[in-house]
Amino acid sequence: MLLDPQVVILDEPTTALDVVVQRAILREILEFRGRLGCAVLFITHDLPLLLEVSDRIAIMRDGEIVELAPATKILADPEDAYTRHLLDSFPSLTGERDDLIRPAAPEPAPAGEAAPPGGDR
Amino acid sequence: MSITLEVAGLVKDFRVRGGPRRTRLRAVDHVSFTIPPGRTLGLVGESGSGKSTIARMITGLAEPTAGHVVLRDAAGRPVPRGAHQEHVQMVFQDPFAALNPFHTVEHHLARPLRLHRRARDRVDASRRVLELLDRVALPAEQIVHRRPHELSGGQRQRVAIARALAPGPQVIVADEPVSMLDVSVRLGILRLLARLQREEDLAVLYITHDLATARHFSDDILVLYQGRVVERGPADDVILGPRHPYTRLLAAASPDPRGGRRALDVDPAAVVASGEMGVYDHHTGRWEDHSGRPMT
Ligand SMILES: Nc1ncnc2c1ncn2[C@@H]1O[C@H](COP(=O)(O)OP(=O)(O)O)[C@@H](O)[C@H]1O
Ligand SMILES: [Mg+2]
Repeated sequence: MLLDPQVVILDEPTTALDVVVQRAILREILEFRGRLGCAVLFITHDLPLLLEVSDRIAIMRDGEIVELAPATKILADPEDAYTRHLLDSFPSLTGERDDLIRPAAPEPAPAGEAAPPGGDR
Repeated sequence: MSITLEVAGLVKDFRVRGGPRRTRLRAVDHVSFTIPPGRTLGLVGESGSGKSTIARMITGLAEPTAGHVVLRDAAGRPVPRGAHQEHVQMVFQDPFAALNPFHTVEHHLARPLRLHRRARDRVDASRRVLELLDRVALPAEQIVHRRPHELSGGQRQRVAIARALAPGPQVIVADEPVSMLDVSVRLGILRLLARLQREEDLAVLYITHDLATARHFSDDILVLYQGRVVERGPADDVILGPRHPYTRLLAAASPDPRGGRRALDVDPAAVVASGEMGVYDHHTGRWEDHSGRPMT
């Protein structure tokens, strides 16, 4: 960070990395954000990661922002159907064991495999 | 027919160029496990830990340096080597690379049906192709004549799964089956695999670097580090109560927004120093060497 930036844009900087390396890089990012007082725009599809590191999150779909809110609100009280679908797409690491993937009771075939709002892509 | 997959003492060495001399890289180091019908084993580890090499040895794409892969029928009799291919099928990470861009969906499914004599003739094959597409919840009539580039990523993986089902396998090895897919369709694919497993009583090896889906999709989990198993046990025990420093490091580094912020209390140096700790087995509640003997 030689140029003393005001804004740093990170476009999927950790996507191809293993989680342990991801964590180390995120620490560095947060550390220089604190040190330089710059703003960070972090672009990724990894919503759980964003929920942990960002202040605000904008959810994009088909070139449009469908929801923009503080990370805590996105997690606790999402308004957009697509945001909710994305949140439901990530099973919780340590929370309740839910039947997102393997329901306790057998479900009727295709009905249990709802497509995301707007279709599978 | 129900099949149990048994892997015993698997080793794979690669010869690699290390400077002027060739050296040996042990990619898989004495890995053993059993998957009974209807059960899912999650194999987790970071890239380079040896997961795909294990998958390749199970599916016959690579020869083990030592150890063996055995399929047993319900009576415990080993299935002849020549019949393995029909019983064990693989689902790959990249459905685009796994499908031939010049061939239609129909061709991709009809071929294994004929090869494994699951269809009597052309008409029967066409009917079975539509059946397979139905089973993976694709609109059969709409897509049967499409080519891979005319499908979405999720649809392509469903076609790849249908193709894997075509020979009527009892064991599925899924190597990072959702890692390359859009996040919004990943769970749908895992749910599909879970349903097919229930319908056919399949033994499933689910390979992933993602601890969260491993936990929810698997009955048991095996953690691989540099080709060695370092921890094994029921999914929740391994993920919620990890014992080996490497598993603890992985769990601490994985995002968990709903779980509350955990401190990264694992020093990566402890992992490097853990080389000879052996395997923690949650089933027996003790540290063991790679052949299951207790360590002192
Ligand atoms: N054909 C090969 N020749 C030499 N080394 C290989 C070969 N295939 C895999 N390896 C090495 O073996 C190790 C394990 O690889 P792999 O099984 O692909 O790991 P994973 O699937 O867990 O990412 C890596 O160090 C990799 O570089
Ligand atoms: Mg791999």
